[in-house]
Amino acid sequence: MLSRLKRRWRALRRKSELDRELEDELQFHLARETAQNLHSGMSPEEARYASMRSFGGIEQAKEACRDARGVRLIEDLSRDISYGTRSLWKNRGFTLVAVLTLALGIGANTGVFSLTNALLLRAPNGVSKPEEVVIVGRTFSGSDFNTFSYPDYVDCRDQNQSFSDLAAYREANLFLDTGGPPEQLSGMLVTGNYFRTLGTRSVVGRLLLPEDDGAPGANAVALISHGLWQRRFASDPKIVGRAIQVNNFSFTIVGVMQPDFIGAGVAENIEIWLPLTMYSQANPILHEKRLEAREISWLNVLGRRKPGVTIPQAQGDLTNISRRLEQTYPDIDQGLGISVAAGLGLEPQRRDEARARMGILLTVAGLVLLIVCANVANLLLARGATRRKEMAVRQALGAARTRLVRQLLTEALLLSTIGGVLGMILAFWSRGLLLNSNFLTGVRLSPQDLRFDARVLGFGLLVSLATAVVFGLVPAFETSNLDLQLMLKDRNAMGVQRSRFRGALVVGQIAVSFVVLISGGLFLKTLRNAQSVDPGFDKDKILLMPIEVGRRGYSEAQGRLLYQRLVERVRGMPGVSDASLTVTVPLGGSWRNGFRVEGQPTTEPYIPCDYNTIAPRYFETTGIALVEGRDFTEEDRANSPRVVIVNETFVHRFLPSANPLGRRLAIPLYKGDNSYSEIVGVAKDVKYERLTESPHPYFYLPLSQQYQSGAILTVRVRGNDSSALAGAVTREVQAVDSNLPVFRVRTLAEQLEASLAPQRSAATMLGIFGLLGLALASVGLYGVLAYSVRQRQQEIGVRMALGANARDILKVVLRQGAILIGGGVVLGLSIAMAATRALESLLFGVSPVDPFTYAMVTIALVTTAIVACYIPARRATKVDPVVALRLE
Amino acid sequence: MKKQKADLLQGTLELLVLRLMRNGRWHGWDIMQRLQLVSGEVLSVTPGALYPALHRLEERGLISSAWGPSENNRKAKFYELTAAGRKQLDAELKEWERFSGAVELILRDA
Repeated sequence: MLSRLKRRWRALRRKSELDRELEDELQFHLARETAQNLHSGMSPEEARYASMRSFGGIEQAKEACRDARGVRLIEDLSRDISYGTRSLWKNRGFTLVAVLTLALGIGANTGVFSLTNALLLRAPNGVSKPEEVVIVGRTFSGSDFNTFSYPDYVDCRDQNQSFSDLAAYREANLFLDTGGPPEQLSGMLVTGNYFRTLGTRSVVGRLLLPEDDGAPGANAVALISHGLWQRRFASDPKIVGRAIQVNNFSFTIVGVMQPDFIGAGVAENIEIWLPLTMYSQANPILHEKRLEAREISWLNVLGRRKPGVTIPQAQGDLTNISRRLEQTYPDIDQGLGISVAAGLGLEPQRRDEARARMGILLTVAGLVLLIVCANVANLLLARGATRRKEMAVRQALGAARTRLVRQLLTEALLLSTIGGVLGMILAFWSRGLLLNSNFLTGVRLSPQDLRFDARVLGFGLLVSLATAVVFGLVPAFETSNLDLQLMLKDRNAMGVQRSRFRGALVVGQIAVSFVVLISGGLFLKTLRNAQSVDPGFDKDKILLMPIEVGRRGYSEAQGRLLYQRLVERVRGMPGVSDASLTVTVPLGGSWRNGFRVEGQPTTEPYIPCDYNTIAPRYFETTGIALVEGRDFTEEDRANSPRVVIVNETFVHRFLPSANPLGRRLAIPLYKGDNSYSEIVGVAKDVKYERLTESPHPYFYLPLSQQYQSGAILTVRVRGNDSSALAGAVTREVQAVDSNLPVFRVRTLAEQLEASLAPQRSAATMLGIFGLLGLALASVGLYGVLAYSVRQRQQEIGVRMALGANARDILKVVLRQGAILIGGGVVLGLSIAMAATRALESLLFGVSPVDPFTYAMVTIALVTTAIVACYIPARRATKVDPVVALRLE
Repeated sequence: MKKQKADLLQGTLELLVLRLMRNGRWHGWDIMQRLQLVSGEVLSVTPGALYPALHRLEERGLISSAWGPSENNRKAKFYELTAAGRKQLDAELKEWERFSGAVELILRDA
């Protein structure tokens, strides 16, 4: 660092030395020539002038000599930068506006890119050769990307020829107890070859190894993250061998993970890794015998391809294995396939979704940047008009045109670099804002996930550079284009050409802001439509509170008992009219399984279908109407005949002809048990996952026959303000078991709002971007007209002298503005008509060419633009003809 | 078109400067005077063209410079040929002779 500074300093010193030598050399020449002239009899005065005359332009000669030296470029650059800095400092107002505008544009792009990077581009830290790693999923009837059962995983691991390692893992919420309050952490259950597959290393002790895959419950060892090691154990170097309590079970720490590895997925922050064989101790929510049960799918799988094995080859290999599994275990694995997806990170469907959304966001941010560029270019052009004298002087002093262009481009680069740095800081600050607008349901990113790594910073820099070229090139050529003759003879001709270009910029700006505003408007309407959808239940009367009995080590029998007591106690509370349990939150996603109607040939695949598991009185509690039959009751026990309730669309689609009640379904969820589930009731269709979804088949299973150690307590209140009872419900739950982990009580209305996050974020973002664009376009429009009014001052003066009144003048200027606005709107309209079709799948209840939205945006935009025109137009009417004519 | 012509002139000027410097060390003003004198006042060069040419030749390592006292005892910058410059000059002279010989043949006999 120091030596580099020294070298720079010497180069700078050398430069001034060379300049001094050059000066001396030429001065000597002049002196020698003068002496010669004196010798031939001229007067001293004459001799000096003659020598200078014969020499020609001294400064030009100096420039040419400097050009002859190779180091010119660097010298010039440093000079351009210092000159540019001075010139920007002198015009602080201009610089401030330009830099802030650029910061907004570049910041918006960098921010959106950092999100894209976190979701799609970045390979997790600490993984060696991440390009070899793939994720593997189970497909059901050819779609989805689901989890594996342990036996299926083991078969794939042992029979494949394409992977050097195939590892399974499952995330687990853990409570760490080291004395003091228990801390909730993300943990990961992994097979012993997991870290070998990823190629990570430990900094203290060892990783988890294949030897740790012993008998279930036999290897109580734990690997902790570097962060946890620092935070909870003060980086104790003798940590290995220490016992910790995880979910009330004692584990021995065997090592500390390398600092940068915090999980192989998107937005993971894993702090403890435990052997998969310890699943039951680590997470009692998971049932016993998971390692033998082929029918329970619960594991994510990733693998490292052997060198030279392509993804299609790996896919083919695993597909062969899955065919064998189908033949060997037809009643369990039939219809199940295997899919291999490149890279770590999001599942394939999620990836596609993320790619589509990020594509839209990046496009919009890019459009905003274009508006920004147009605006700064406009500012530079206006400024260029006042800098032509300066340019003329510099050219007369020997600066070539390319030098002037280079100087102006350097200034543009300076502007964009400062703007870019500011913009990146801005984007860094507003990470929270970006994350609040939850783009993908189910991927919970935290601010740490939006790391501003080399890729993001590089992107920001590249955008800044590209921006400088886009906004700086034309003004640079324009400003340095000094045809002295044309300038002197016909100043106005130049002005007209220039303002025509600026006019085109303004038309472009208006068009782009129009498109962005239209998109924002469409999303706003989507949001409104979605909010007014009837979800099918009484959202204002319902409270939701997650209960996880498994977390405290309850057995199934204890869990059932607790559920019953909880529901009974809450039902008895004043202000509560009913209570029940559900496994899936309404509008919070769905579980998926399949079914086959009794009588269908067993060779046919199961039909995929979403379902939920509920306790009795769920329908009364949530206000979903039962159309036919009965609800689940306390009489539907674990050992009584299996029952199921379906929705209207289910009946409509699969049992259209006969009475559905009494028909029976084979549900693969209950594997190893061949009995059928009888349809006892039909419930009204509601919205299950999204307000914007179309009706689809759905069924409900009773919690008593499909026990889960976690569920959501659902409470219906008497009044209309459910949130008032939240505290009381929490206290009641605590009174039943003070050890239950407490989660925040949410109202169903909140849950509903949360499900609309993507639409809301799109509407907000596009709205902000659109308004920003409109504001910038208006400033640009104002600038063009103000400049043109100044240019046409004489003409206006003449008109007024010839009897035109203020109205006429107003009309002349406004007409010029109207042409620009009209051009912009027509251009924007045609772009929007084509472009908004790409948004169609994200819209709800509104056509991409919705006339209302188009009309509103047009009116808003035209009104704003006319205001921007009116100010310079008013000024034109104030032109004093006498003063204007005197300018001639 | 304009640029090509300038290049040709520039090349020729450099050749002439190198040739003039074959015998001795000279400063810029000297070179200019000698060029005029030796060519019988036919060729003249402006300082605006000469000095950049000198700096270019020095940059290419064909001549080197040093400060020393001039004939009227002022500090002046003197240039002399380097070994590389001598080699370059010989090569260019040969090339020139070949070229001018060919042109002469055509002009006389064609």
